[in-house]
Amino acid sequence: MTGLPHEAQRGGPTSGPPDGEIVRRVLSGQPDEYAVLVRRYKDVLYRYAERMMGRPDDAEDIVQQAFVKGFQSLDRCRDPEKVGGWLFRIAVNLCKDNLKGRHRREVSLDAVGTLRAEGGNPEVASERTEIREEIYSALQDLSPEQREAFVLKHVEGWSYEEMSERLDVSVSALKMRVHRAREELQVLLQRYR
Amino acid sequence: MNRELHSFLDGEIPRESLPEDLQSEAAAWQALLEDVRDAGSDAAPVGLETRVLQSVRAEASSSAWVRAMRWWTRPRPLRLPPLAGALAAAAVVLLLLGRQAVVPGPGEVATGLSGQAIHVQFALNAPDASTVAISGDFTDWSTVGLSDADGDGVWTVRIPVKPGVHEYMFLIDGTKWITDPNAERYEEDGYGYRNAVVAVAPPTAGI
Repeated sequence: MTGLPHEAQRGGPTSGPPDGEIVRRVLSGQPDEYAVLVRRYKDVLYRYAERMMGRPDDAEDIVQQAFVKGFQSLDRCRDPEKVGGWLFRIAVNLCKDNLKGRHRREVSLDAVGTLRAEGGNPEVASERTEIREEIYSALQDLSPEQREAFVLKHVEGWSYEEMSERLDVSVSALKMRVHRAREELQVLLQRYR
Repeated sequence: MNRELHSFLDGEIPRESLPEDLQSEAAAWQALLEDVRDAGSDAAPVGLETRVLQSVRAEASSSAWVRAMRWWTRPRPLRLPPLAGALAAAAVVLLLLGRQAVVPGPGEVATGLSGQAIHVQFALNAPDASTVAISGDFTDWSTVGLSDADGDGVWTVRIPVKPGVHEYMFLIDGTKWITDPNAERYEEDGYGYRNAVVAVAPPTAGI
């Protein structure tokens, strides 16, 4: 158990010592072991931060800060077996803090430039990139709370109960945020009908 | 937007249970959400791991020194009974006069005099719990079990706690962290939890 519901399918730990053992090693004077946790969770933290922040540079900063903060406070991680979820939560809070006061639509299309390459027809690839640009911009138009709930639900695949536990927000409030986010994103549906 | 469609997208009902006129809408949403998952990177960029590890190593090498400096420079309010205060003053005078005197460090003073542990009773009303434990800085954040001997749903434990301000949480059934609803005050821990805070005064009896 790592505290991240879907990391197994998307780049989480598949082998090696369990997280709890790694945490114990770091706390008992082997700081280099922390690299194992960085390798295990950098992708899931980055994926979330990039969608939340809209800019790759900002996402990298968030990931870096989250791991440093996690290292500084590792002895306060109450359940070392779930250190992945704990680190993710630090990243969630950092995104939230950094988005405060930021104007909407500050999104860099550099993020879309890093999309995975489309094989086959260049026209199709171009159209797909265009669609994703629209999606990326639309995501940044959501309020940070809506975006957070929507990304956790539909990108990370968390259940409302998992989100509620980790964000300390009621299930009904989270549902409302996701539903409103969908209403906002409906405009994108035209391409899919 | 249709409520049934939201229910389907929330994973509460299968697509087959949607009415015919919503089927194509549901398919469109599924395709859109697939693209939402694909929009953006699936992995951290090359080089980020190296940069993160450099920052962590820098932190690791500096933190021991910084912690030591903070420990020495942090002001520590000490409330001493009059006689203990006089003894401490005498010790300082002896030290200034160059006599060989053993002056305890700040931590030792706190432990020996004003830092004498006091038994504090913690209680939580949790009638539905199977187990209740407490975890705080005074237990080094390891858990100590509470008991409910008379089965009235109120779980209690007495723990020796040194004078000072302490943070703690309750753990119900080994999985659910609960903030003490009757705490004197609360402190955000920076990671989304709100710790309960208890202030323990030093014993008032003089020496």
